[in-house]
Amino acid sequence: MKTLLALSLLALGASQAMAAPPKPAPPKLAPLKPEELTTVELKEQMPPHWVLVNDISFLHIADGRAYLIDADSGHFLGTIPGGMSHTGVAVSPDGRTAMVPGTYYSRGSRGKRTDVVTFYKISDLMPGDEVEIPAKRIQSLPLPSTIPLTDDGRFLLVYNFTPEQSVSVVDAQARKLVGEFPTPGCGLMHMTGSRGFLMQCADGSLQAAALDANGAVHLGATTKPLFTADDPASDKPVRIGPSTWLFTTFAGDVAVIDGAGGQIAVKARWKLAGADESAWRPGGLQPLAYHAPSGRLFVLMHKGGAGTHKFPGEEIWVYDVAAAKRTARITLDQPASAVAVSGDAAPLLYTTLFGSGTLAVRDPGTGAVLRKVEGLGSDLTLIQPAPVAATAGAR
Amino acid sequence: MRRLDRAAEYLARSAARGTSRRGFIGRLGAFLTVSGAATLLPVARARAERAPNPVQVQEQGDPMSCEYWRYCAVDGFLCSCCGGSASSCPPGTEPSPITWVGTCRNPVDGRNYIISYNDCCGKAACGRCNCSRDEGATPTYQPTTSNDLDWCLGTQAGVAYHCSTSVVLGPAD
Repeated sequence: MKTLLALSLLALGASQAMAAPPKPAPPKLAPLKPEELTTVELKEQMPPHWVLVNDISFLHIADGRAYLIDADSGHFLGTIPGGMSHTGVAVSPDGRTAMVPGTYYSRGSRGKRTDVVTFYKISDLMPGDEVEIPAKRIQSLPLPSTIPLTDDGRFLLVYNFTPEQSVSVVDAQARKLVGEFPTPGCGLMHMTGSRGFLMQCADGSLQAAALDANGAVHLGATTKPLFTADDPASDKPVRIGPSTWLFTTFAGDVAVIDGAGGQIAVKARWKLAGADESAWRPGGLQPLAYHAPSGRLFVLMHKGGAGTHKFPGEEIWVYDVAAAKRTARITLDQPASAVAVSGDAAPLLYTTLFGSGTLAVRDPGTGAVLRKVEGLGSDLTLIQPAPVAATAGAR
Repeated sequence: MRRLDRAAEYLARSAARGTSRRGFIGRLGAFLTVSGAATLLPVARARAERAPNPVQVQEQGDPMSCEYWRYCAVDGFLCSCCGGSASSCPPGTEPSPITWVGTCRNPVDGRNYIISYNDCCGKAACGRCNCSRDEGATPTYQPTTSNDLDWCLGTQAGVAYHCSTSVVLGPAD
């Protein structure tokens, strides 16, 4: 009986096989060659439309990083590791070197703390030289003015908060620590020339400071309070000239402040919103972007009252800074917590929303989305376009 | 509405004065004045289970909700959802000895209270009950009232931020 059943099944299988169409003969091609595993190398210099997008990795904060993206193609080019409470990357003016101030613990999120600046070549994104700095680097939401580089790329400044306030200076050319310099009562370094910078102080005043030829910090004059306690200036101003910064207050007042030669002067004051738009305020992690060739300012704006300074923008308002006049309102398809613009003459506008994992690449004239780069880590913070000098050199 | 009342303003102003141009070390005192009460509690000598501090009997609301009155200026993960409470750190974490303060109005008695937002430190983020209300919070260069800073400064455990408490320091008026 079993034999009969087996024969029947065999016959059934044979008939089905005969019913199937004949397989086409495989094409006569050369066999695949054994492959060599390689590692990609990039251009030596960041072109105008490469952009770094930083991820603070809030839920696993010892593992911050920056993603390097080609915004023209939307291609993901590579990753730069960043450590604990990652802020961002300082890119040399020639666009060839990335410097990453980082905080690391010997046991991941615990153990012995070491703060270092690590140098990476853009071409290979491999960790190279390392300079140990005082283990005092501020741990906060990321602010670009905690890690500025002098315009010539010579000195990297790192803001410390323990809560004593100081600045560590690294000689990026010699790749060594210059020293740590106290800056009592004031924080953040907004560069105002080849060696000058201004700092924001707790009472609403500004402090002038400068590096000497060796990189030592010397404090200069302090202004009277320029902002009120009720409506403080944000700690996220944008640089609009070699010595000039545009500050916005929580409520949306603008102050254009020049620090040339260590002399701090308010050049203009105006308001982002009109009298009938008082519900609108600037907000987000990176609310301001400035395009120098066209003099345009891009601001993330939302509707909200006091205490909403971290709300993402629902719209981007565009201004002609020289005329202190709004020229466009762009409604966003998705809210944005960060905005940036490339520094070249044919710019791209970038936005991201913390937690979205998506970089939107936009036409700065209309805000239209040209492409989206998705799947970028977890908690995107600052967007850093290629430096302007690199932009000029690469074209 | 700004929640900064006279007391908090005094703290901010005194800290601002303390952080002006005087000694580098001397300013630390201004920050220490806002230390959380939790760090002053006597250390339990006996090895025994220790429950999270409950909220006080005069209070109402859910301390695991971002809407809870004490959280008016918080920005972070609520320790109540992470094995601790509004005034207890989860096991194995260390309270920050220095921090920043806000002022919140208790809806039950209508009084304003100074709240100390001590971080619990030494383990990476808990990740539960993220709560960002920011009422009266200031930029980082005004640190005594800024919630953008990691306040795990001065701990033995290091700067890894785990969660945020909201400890009542006392009436503000």
